[in-house]
Amino acid sequence: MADDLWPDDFGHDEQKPPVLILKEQAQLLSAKTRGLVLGWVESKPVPVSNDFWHNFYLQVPNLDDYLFNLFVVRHGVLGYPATVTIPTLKWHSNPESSDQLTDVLRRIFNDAEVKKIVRSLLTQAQASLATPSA
Amino acid sequence: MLSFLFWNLGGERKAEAAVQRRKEKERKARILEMIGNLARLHEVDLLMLVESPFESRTIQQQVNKGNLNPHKTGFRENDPNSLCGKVQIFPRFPTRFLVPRSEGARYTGRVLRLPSPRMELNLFVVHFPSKRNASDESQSLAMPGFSAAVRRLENSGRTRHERTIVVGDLNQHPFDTGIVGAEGLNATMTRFVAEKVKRTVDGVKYPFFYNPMWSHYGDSTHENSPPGSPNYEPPGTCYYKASESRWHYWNIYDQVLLRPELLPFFRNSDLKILIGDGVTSLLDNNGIPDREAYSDHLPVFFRLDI
Repeated sequence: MADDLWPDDFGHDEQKPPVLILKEQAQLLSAKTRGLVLGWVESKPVPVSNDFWHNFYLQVPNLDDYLFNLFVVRHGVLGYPATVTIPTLKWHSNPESSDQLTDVLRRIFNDAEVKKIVRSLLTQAQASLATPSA
Repeated sequence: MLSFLFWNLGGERKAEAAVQRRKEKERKARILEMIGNLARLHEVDLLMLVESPFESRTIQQQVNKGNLNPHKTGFRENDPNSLCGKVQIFPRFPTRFLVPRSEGARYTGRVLRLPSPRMELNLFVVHFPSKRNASDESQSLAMPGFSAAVRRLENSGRTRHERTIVVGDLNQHPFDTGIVGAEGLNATMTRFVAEKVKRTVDGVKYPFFYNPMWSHYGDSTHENSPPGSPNYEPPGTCYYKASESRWHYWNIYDQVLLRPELLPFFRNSDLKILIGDGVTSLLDNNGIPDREAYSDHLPVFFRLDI
């Protein structure tokens, strides 16, 4: 039998992984809008570069599952540093920790342009609820 | 037959002095007239514009000039509910047949659902960041996210299919990593390759796009049709000069990508880089886009036999 060369304990990561933070925020948005505008995170590995990326979408079930891609987070195996690209706001950021990523997300979600987008989707979702189907 | 016209209009130019303002006003008037002429000449069904300095209503009025029944066969307005402010789309059919389903700041993905027997299509119209504002690496890194959005739309909805078109100013060369890379758009230069439908890299399958724009590089037709002749085919969609060591001069940033499922309905001869409306040229005397009079980009026209 081969010797087990692995350590007994791999330790504890102090940093919350980006995908967890994103999924938490996605759920909070869904709850805050009572399911009219959902946050949704699509995650994929990039095999060639050993990277991971996450699309953060706003999804509107009442509008035929309309999706708006709000921003993209990309990072290596270690999670940080990450690259956050926000085409809507024409800037990007490179958070080096979960705290910094949280700050970046707070800035994104409170930006007037992003609030306008969420408001517009909410209004359309509510309008579609109020419209009797033909 | 369904006809598409895409054109990057070059945006609104800064004009501080009175003479600049007058020139810009004249340029915009020329562009507006050209849009109307091209739409009529080519019987365009879907007019797609980026960097448009015009309000939707202005374009709509122009393209419907001379149309006696604009409510029946005229162009409809750009969807006011679209959250992609970079793109204007004017369909020549009711907007309810062109539903926004997947959008971002720089792209709009619509489901084109015309009455039977026409098949449903996915249409993405894009305007990605310029090479002046984004490095090659940044451009490449952005493409897997967009590519996933395309696949997400293809795999959702009532009728899942890959009858997808990506059209627009990708601001990347057809040979750039973001366009040819498996994790990007995976767009290949020949039908033969695209008809294999997918390829596998490191155990992951990636669906192909066919990029017919490759065939429009170069001057192979210029011996018979030199610049200035009516059948002149420009070597790209935009031309820039610089003193850089590595430089292409002609570029094809404006592209049309088709999934293999659409290839039976597309002939390469049905895609043209337009040089004018038959009367007025979009090119200067050297055969390059006349950016002073119109735009630094040439329009791209294509048809699908559906």
